[in-house]
Amino acid sequence: NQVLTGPLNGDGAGGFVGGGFLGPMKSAEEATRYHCAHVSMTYCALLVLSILGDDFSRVDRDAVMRGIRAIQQDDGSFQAVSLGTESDMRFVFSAVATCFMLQDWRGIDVDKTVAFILRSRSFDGGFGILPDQEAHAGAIYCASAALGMLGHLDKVMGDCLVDFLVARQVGGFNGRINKVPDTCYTFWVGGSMQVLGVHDQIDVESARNFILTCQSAIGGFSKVPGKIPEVYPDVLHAHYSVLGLSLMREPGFQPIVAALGMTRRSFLAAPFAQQPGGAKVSTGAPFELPE
Amino acid sequence: GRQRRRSPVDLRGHHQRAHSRCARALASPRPYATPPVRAGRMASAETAALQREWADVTPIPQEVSDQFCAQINYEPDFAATMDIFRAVIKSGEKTQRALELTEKVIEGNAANYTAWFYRRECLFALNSDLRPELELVTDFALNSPKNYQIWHHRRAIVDKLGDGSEELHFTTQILNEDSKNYHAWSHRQFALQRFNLWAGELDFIQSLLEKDLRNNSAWNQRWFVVKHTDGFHSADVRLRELQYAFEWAKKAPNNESPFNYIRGIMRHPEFDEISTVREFAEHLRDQLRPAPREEDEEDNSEAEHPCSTNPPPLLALLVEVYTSTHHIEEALELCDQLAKVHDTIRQKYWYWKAGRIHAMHHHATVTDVDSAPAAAAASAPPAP
Repeated sequence: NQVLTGPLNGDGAGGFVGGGFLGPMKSAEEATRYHCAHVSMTYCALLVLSILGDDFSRVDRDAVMRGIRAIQQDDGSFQAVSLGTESDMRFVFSAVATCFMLQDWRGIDVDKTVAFILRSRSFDGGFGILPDQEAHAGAIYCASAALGMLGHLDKVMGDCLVDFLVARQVGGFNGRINKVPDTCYTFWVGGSMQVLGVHDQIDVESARNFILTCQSAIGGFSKVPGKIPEVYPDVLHAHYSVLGLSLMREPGFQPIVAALGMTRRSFLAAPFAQQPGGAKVSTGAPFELPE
Repeated sequence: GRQRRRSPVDLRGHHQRAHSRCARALASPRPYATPPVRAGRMASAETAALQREWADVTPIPQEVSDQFCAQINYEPDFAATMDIFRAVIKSGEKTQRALELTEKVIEGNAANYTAWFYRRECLFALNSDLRPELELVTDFALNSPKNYQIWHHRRAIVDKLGDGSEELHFTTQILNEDSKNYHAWSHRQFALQRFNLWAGELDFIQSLLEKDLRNNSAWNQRWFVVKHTDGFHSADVRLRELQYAFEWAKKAPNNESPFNYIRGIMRHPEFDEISTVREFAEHLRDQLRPAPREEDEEDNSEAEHPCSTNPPPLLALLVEVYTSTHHIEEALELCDQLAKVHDTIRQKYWYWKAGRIHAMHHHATVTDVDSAPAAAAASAPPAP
């Protein structure tokens, strides 16, 4: 699923696609104009490769970087595909995480990226996915993790982001003020708190109990409590429930690096950590692993 | 207008089949055996007609291989339609029939961003009238109101048309179904700014709060409107906004939203109304205290109404107020009460907060008694 860049799809297409739904791409010449990478798929591909112990030797790093360069917008945000999609904080995270995993920052304008993230800061201390948008834990995760990997977390000095995040816990976690809890927010909120170094403020018992009420009779976890057939488990909520439990140091679960969404073990074995001093942020300083 | 289209996937049947598959998989000795692809299932008559229309192109199937670990078991109609679409994007045909094909592809999977992109290319190449397209998007959006591709398509069409006259009505329709739909609010903000549609928005927000004063999206929208019209730099505006928030806070003192709004105003670089906020917060706290009881009545006030007498959002505001006015003992006392009694789920946080306040105050008193800016800076974000 690595995109081959050729005469029709061009330099902006480099990276990975989610699957073969656009048709076979046996050669760069065969790639249509529409065979373009999707930045979140690029992030997922590199993440999965790291977890599986790949050394990235078959990743066309230059093509990926050219693809990243093609999707940054004038306002510093990123769209998903060079052809043209919406642009917002989700793809800022995916682009930054891609650069981090390749330890190569040439594809992005770091200052513009940071400026976009900060412009998306909400009046209540959180972040929206775009400037002026309502503070949302998904956007906060993307913003915090990106700033962490960029080495610009100092730009969110001040307590109000922590204030906002801890207030999301209502038993389980919600993603916005006055909304109901959903298991995946254990990770979006808890993971953001880990990036900020305050995840030990989580009330583990309450969060854990909520997650367990969402455990399905057929295995896995659903977003809210309930029984089949009203409520079904799904892979996304199972994944973020397990990551959430790991974050809260569930016995027998691996410690995780929330900024990337992988275990500490995988992180330390990944290609981007194999250099003196380990993985670096965009400023060249070492990336600090969470406690 | 168009008939509201039914969902392309029969969800109840889908769930029943999924449940049966799960049950069979669990009962089977090899639960992860690859299911047979499309065994014994035929495409529909509608798809056969589509294939006849496109008989002049060679369909391109998606690659299938037992090397793939997450192969999708596509419905035959879906696969047949996609086989044609793959051939069409390869040829680059941008005709009326290609445009109609994109609609079928999107009906099969409304998240197919390539199909939406190709549809736009067809529309623009054919110089199609974009107004009926708005109706189509409305249909799709009412069916799948949280689909990013649909919203992006709407924005692209509206942008090309240069006409935002329907966008408030459209987003109101969506918000009537789900008053917190994030996409709807985002699109509404885009339309308000692009087409200067500010008049009436504060009234709209008021009507939403009258239905649900806890609608945080509406509160966020108010901030957005004020920021982009009057601006918060004026003391009159800040006072007006504070009074607005105070009124709603009194109606439901455990509602986070108006308290967050107030704290947002407090962080404005020109904020100068701390005594107004303090007066409101202390008065409200006094009003919520239980009435003095007769000698022989049991004092069940805390057990009966723990939140209504000491709602955490109000107390958290007071912590911030007292920190700001350097009433450190009062602030720390409240953190202690919140940790131990009123907001125990955040006990660790409130102890951490107390530590932060202590450190700020200690720093302030050690370095310079009048270092209010230093104390304020430690808790403020960049200006809104």
